[in-house]
Amino acid sequence: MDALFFSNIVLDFVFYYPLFMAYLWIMGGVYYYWHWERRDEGSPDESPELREYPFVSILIPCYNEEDTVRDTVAWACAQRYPDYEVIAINDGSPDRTGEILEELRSRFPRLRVIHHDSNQGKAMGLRTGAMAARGEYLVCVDGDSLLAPHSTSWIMRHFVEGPRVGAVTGNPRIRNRSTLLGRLQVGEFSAIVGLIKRTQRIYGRVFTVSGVVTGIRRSALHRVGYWSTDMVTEDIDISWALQRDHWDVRYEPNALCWILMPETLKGLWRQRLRWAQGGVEVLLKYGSSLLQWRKRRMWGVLLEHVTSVFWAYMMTLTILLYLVGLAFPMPEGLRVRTLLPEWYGVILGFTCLLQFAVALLIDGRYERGVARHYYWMIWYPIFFWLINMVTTVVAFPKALLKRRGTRAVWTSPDRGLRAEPAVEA
Amino acid sequence: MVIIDRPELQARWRRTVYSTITLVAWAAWMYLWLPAITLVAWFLGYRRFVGEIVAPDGGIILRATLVYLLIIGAMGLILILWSRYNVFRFRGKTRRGAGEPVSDREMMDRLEISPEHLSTLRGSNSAFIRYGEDGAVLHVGEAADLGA
Repeated sequence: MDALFFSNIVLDFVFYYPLFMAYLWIMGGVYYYWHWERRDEGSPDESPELREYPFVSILIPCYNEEDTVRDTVAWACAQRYPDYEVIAINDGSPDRTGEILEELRSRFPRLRVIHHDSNQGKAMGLRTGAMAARGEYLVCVDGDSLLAPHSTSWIMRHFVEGPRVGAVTGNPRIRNRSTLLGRLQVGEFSAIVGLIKRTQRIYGRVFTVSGVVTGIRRSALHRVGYWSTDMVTEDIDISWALQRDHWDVRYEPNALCWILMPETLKGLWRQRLRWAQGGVEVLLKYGSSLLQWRKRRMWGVLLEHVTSVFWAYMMTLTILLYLVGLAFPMPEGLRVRTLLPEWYGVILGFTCLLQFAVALLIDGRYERGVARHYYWMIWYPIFFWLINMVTTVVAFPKALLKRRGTRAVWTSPDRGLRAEPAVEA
Repeated sequence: MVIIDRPELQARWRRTVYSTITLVAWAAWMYLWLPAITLVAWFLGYRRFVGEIVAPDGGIILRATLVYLLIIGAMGLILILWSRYNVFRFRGKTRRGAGEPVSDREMMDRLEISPEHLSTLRGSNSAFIRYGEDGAVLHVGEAADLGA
């Protein structure tokens, strides 16, 4: 195999993989919308009618959430669902979280509070909640997220209708959009994450639930051994564990949950690095066990994930070779003439446009006015692929070198620019 | 307000920088369209397109675009057929059930918690829990007893 042929293959792969994946997500999103979502008469502002209303336990693991926990608890206790409890788990917070939770108990009769003697991490917090729950169905939200009033009903619809449903992921919407970083994450969540989830649902297996809003069936959870305490992203881990055990993981776009995302580069970097590391950790943990014929339905997710990691490294290499080639003469096989061959540029531009349009069309129904961010959306495809690339390249060795069994601890998240403290549900 | 859209909370220079680089990004995006723009310009009478793009490569660009469309079409078809196949094969048929809800006994064994502790945890509205190094539950009590 001569060097030129090889470099052409690599360059083709590096350029075409993101392009074709974008079209896969666009087509998946459109088909999902056209076939399932469009006919759905419901909306996030009304609860669907269920055949029955099993008891639900809403779990809120908290660590240093004194600024946000009042709102989170208030929203969780305002669910339009007949029969539920809210369990807040204070994971040994050094701040006033514990105090505030105890105060809130008198305001909200549905609230129960459990304090960890010492900081144990989110996975242990969830585990405590799972033990303490009086119901079979758990809805887990983050300590700084606002669960929309009808979300519990929307999530429960899947559990009631599908005995094999192990988990349901809701639809995280970003609250803080004062900065460029905030806005482009809005675009990212609408235009890429939403389309990816829909496409994965058509395929039949998802890469991950969104840990900020997830419904879980306790029996399924028990079967897979509850949340792992040594994985940095317990949501990716639980998704793979459940699907490997042949549980169905569904996506419910009507189950909104308003979340805060980082608005500084440092905060964003740390968060995305953790996500990338989590992705590699599940690969290392489950990868080989999924290669049996019985687990064949996970092969698509596995393949896509491995390819993405490989792409990250190839893209980095390509960029490096291009930059080096600007300064020094390179052998033909290694020369990267340009990062953007002309006609490819047009196709790229057109693809961006198409993806924006499709996402706005599909996602608009969950958040009126999201089109306002159109001007900032130019960033998110670059942002999405670039940040994936860089965090993957850094996370892969990090995950490999991590000692097995190291307890995953909370990171103090950057919650963006905040305005008024109290929010009415 | 649920949505926090307060750009004025940032420093003015930061906002300006971000707006400017976004403008640059849009300019870069429009630059990608240059070949297409040149094509349109050619139809309007300028001949650069033929010289720059089509002539050196022959019909390769158009053929390549056709190939992309075919690949995308094939991907879409496979996705949809896969979906139809699954709906056809599994609609209304549940091969595996949910099974019984997990019993307390099983939970106690797996999570290493004693019946008394589990009972306190379940029954209490305000409790505390102490874990050991290995994740076993050492103690569960009423938070009021903690005194804190």
